[in-house]
Amino acid sequence: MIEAKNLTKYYGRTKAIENVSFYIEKGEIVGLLGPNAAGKTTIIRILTCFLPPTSGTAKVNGYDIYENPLEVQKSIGYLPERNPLYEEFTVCEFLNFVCEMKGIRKKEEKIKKISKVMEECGIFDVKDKLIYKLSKGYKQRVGIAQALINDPKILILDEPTIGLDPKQIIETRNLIKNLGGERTILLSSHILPEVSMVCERVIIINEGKIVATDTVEDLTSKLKGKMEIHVEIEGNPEKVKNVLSEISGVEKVNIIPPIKERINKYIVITDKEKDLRKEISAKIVNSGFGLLEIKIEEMTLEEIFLKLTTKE
Amino acid sequence: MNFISVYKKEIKSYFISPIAYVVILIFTLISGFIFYALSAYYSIISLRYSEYPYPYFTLSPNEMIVRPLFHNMAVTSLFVLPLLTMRLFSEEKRLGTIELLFTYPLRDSEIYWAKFLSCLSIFIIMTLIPSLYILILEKWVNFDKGVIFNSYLGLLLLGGSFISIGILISSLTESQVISAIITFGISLLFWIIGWVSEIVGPKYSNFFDFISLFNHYENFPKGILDTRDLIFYLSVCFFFSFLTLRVLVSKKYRG
Repeated sequence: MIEAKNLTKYYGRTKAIENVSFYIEKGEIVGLLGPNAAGKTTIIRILTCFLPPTSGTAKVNGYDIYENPLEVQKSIGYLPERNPLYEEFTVCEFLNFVCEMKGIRKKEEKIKKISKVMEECGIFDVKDKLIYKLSKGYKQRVGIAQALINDPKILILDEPTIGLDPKQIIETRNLIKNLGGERTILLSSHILPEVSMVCERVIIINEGKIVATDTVEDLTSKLKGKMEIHVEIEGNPEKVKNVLSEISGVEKVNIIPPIKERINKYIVITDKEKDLRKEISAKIVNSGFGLLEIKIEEMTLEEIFLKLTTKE
Repeated sequence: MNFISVYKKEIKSYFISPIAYVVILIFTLISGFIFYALSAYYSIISLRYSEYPYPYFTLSPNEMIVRPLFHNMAVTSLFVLPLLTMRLFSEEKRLGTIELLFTYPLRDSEIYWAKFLSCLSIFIIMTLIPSLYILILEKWVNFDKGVIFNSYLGLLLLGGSFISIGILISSLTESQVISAIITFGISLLFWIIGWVSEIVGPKYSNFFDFISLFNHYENFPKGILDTRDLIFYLSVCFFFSFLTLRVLVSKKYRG
């Protein structure tokens, strides 16, 4: 549905993105993840034909952004970054205008589409209010409603939850999740939990380059590197450490300070993708120590993100 | 077709904001005052000369009311039109709605002409009101309708030129105030640029005379329709419209 090929964009002399290529299948929900100023908005603006790239090209819904910008724009619904709206209009008037913009002209069809989208986004009760009088959460929903109005195959949302309160964020996320299915959704965010909750696949970009692209699960396991097992054991710390180090596959054993006399927490670092919990528990119990707790520490998307986007 | 939707939206914004009401009100007040002053003066003069047949017959209402009225309306337009054009692109740029507008499936030119014509429509409404005064006075005074029509055409052409300058400036800045001031400055400069034609010497005097917006306006209220003037105003309109469309495209390319 969306295909970007070697997109590069310079603003004057500053490079915004460089050689960005990716492919998004029909029906996927993909998150564009990156710190601020990584180039997310630039990529999105190129895909929506708001800005042309300096070099490279993209195809959206099979149409080239250079050759058929109008067709591209017809097949997308777009929520820009700061959610700009014509705030002096009422919700109904605004949606009516958007309907006409997107080529829906028949009166019955307009009414049908508008009421459907208002239902979907939960803005029916504010339909006659002026947009500038609405709360931020409602404005966001109006923004999503205008993107949805012509039932586009592709939905592009630029930071859809920015500036909302936690409750509104959850509502917006649920809304986006419900919109998936038939539609292809590309959303950008710098908030990780959001992407891991809503999206099936993530494209992580940093300083204008794609640093990783994968499903959320694969990304987590691939980048995990070494596995950490946290154990809490009752017994002499020196002896326990020795016993743990003897287990095959264990690379390193650390004791979490402060070291106490009897009960201590240990971090056992093992080889990649080797789950040694069984061996460790057997060994500890056989050696006569008390095993109080054992668990695997998963690396969160947050840590992966930091690992990918910070220079060491 | 989308063009009409943008046009309707622009007209709506003009009246919601309510800049259209204010501008129309002020323009009506000023032109009303001018019309009153001119016709009162005309009636005094014609009363005074009513006993002398020769000067009485040379007193033409076209000369004494229509011509100065349209001259003054042109000057007033010069002052108020920047207030109508300033928001057209500047506001959308500042609020970011331009991103919405430019990602809907419609061409830049459709957006431009919708904005241009919406502004021109407000200008037409605004300048039609003084024509009502003339209609009322027609009960007692014989006007030459051709002259009125011709003057009105001239005013529209002039207004169109001011509007095209104003939209160009509006597309260059995010600040409405700056847009209005620069538009006013440039329009005024083009209005009076003919003044230097005496100074610069014969080589350039024709040029300065030619590009002066004012010099081309003079003929219309006299009842002369010169195709040179017509073409001049149309080319000014299209030249600045062309520049604006270029600006819109190049803004995209520079980001």
